[in-house]
Amino acid sequence: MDHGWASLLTAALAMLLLRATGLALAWRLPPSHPAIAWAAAVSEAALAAWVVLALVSPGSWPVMVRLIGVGAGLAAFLLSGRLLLPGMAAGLSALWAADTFLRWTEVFAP
Amino acid sequence: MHPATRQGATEALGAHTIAMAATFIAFGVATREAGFSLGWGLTSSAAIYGMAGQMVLLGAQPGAGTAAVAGAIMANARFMPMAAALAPLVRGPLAPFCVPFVAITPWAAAMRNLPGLPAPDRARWFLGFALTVWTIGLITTAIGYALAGSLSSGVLRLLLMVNVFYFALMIAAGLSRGGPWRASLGGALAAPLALLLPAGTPPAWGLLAAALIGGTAAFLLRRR
Repeated sequence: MDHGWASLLTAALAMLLLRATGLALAWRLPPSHPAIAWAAAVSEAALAAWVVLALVSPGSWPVMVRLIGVGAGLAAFLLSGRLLLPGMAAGLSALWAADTFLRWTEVFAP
Repeated sequence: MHPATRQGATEALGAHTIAMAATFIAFGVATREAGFSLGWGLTSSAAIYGMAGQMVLLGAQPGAGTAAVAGAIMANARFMPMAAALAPLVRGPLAPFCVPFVAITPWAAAMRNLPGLPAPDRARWFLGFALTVWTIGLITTAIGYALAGSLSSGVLRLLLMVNVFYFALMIAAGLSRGGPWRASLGGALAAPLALLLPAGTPPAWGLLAAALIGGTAAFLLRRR
C-alpha cells in the first residue's frame, strides 16, 4: 500500500510542525499571558467536547448504555477517594452489564 | 535516571497505561484488518501519535492521500494549542525533546501535575511520563496487530470505550482539584453543535468548532 506510506509520512511531518509551532509561538510568553490562557482553554474544551461526543454520538454502544457506564465510573471514582482505576473498572463493568441486560430484554421482549 | 524523570515514568503506569494500551491494541487490530503492514502501524503510532488522526489515515481510500493528510491534520489540530499551553511549563533546554510527545494523554496528565512540581523538574517529569506511555503505545500496537482476528467484537468495542471513560475521569479529577471547570464546561456544552453540522462534514471539524467556541467563551468569561 504505497499510497498509505506517502500519506503517513506527510501527515507525520505535519503533526511535528503543528506541535513545534505551538511550542514556538508560546516560547517567550509568560504562563499568565492571555494567549496561553486561551490556548489552554481551547485545549481543555477540546478534551471535554471529545468525551461528550464519544458518549452521545451514534456508535457501537447504545447511548443509554454509555451514559450508565460513565455515570457508574464517576460514582466509583468519587466513592473511592478519586482513584482512576476503580472508576474505570466500575464504568466498564457497568457498560458491559447494561448492554447485556439490554440485549437480554430485547431477546425476551414479547 | 533523574528522580523527576523516574517519577514521571512511575506515574504513567496504572490507569494511564491501561487507557493507552486499550486504544492502541484496538488500533493494531484495525491496522491489520485494513491490510496495512505492522511497520506502517508502528510508524503511525510513533509519529502521528494522536488516535483521531491515525484513524483518519487508516480509513483513507487509495488515491485520496491529500484528503487523508488534510483530515488527519484537522483531527489533530488541537496539538498546536496544547503545545502552546504546555510551553511555559516545560521551558528550558529539554523543551524541544518534548515536542513529539505532545498528545492528549501526556498533555492532560502534565497540565494537572506539572504546576505542582519545581520548575527545573517539569520537563524531565514530562519526558519520563511521555516516553513511558509512548513506548506502551508502540508495544500495544504490535500486540493488537498480532491479536487481530482472535478478539471478539465485544472485546474490541469495550477497548474503544476505555479511553472515553479514562478522559471523563481525568476531567473529573482535574475539576475536583479546582481545575479549569469553565473550559471543560464550555467544551461539553458546545459539543452538541458538532452534531448539527451538515451531513458529510468531517467529524474533526465539529470537534474543532466546539473546542474553539467553548474554549473561547470560557476564556472570555474568565477575563471578565
